[in-house]
Amino acid sequence: MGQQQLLLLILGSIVVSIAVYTGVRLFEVHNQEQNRDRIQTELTQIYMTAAEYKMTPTSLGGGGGSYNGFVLSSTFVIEPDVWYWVGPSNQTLQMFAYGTVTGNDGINPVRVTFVAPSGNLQYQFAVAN
Amino acid sequence: MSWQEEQRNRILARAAYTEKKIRKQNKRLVRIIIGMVILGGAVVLIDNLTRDKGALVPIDFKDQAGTVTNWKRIGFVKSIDESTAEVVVDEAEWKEMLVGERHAVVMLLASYCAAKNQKPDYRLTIKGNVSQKLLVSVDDKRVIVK
Repeated sequence: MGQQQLLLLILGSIVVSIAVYTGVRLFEVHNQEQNRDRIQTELTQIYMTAAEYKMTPTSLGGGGGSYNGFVLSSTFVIEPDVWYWVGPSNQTLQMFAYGTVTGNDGINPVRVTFVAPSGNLQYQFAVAN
Repeated sequence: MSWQEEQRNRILARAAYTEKKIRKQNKRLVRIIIGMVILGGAVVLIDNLTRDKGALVPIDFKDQAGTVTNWKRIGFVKSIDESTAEVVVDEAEWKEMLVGERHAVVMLLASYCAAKNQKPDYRLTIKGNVSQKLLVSVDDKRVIVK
């Protein structure tokens, strides 16, 4: 085998390896994003339920302006990967959820945090892995 | 020069020309592949450099006490006073954390301290171990996470 052919073979192998790596990485990132999107949708649904509860008067079984007493609906109770926390004065709501796909650290599943500060209906998501 | 010799010379010249052309093409091919290797290498390098580190500390909401013990073992939590809910953490690691992970840590510590005190009081303060700067404050009015 000529020297040039050998060089071409080595360079070709490197190009193929890089292409495979890039493909795998793209697939991985796409999978993670899809999983995070699913979690965010679920967390938004939970938040809508919680906000509805907060806005309902106590006489009608709601929180009367507070998250106090909010319980995750049975639809989500079977979801084992969502944790929520009603913050100070029962006015803030934070949620934390695990996904099913391995996250950026390559070990733990993807994680998403949800924060709804008090006073308004604005909320934000933050990627935790 | 005989006709045969002339023909032979013509064939040799043609062969030399073709060989030169092929060599030129091969050189171009090698240059293109080297360019692709450099470009691919750069993409891989940039991807690795700009990639999020992801989770820095393990979090398990099902085993909160175990998680806090683990954080103490790995040195993330330097000290914790459950009765006053005052926590001192590794400042360098805190700064490296993603915002989402910081919120998750706050949630777990607040929940853990509330469970330890056996009351739904989610007051919590987290300070850095070096500067003693307040990193997190959770009181009756709001949650501040820096």
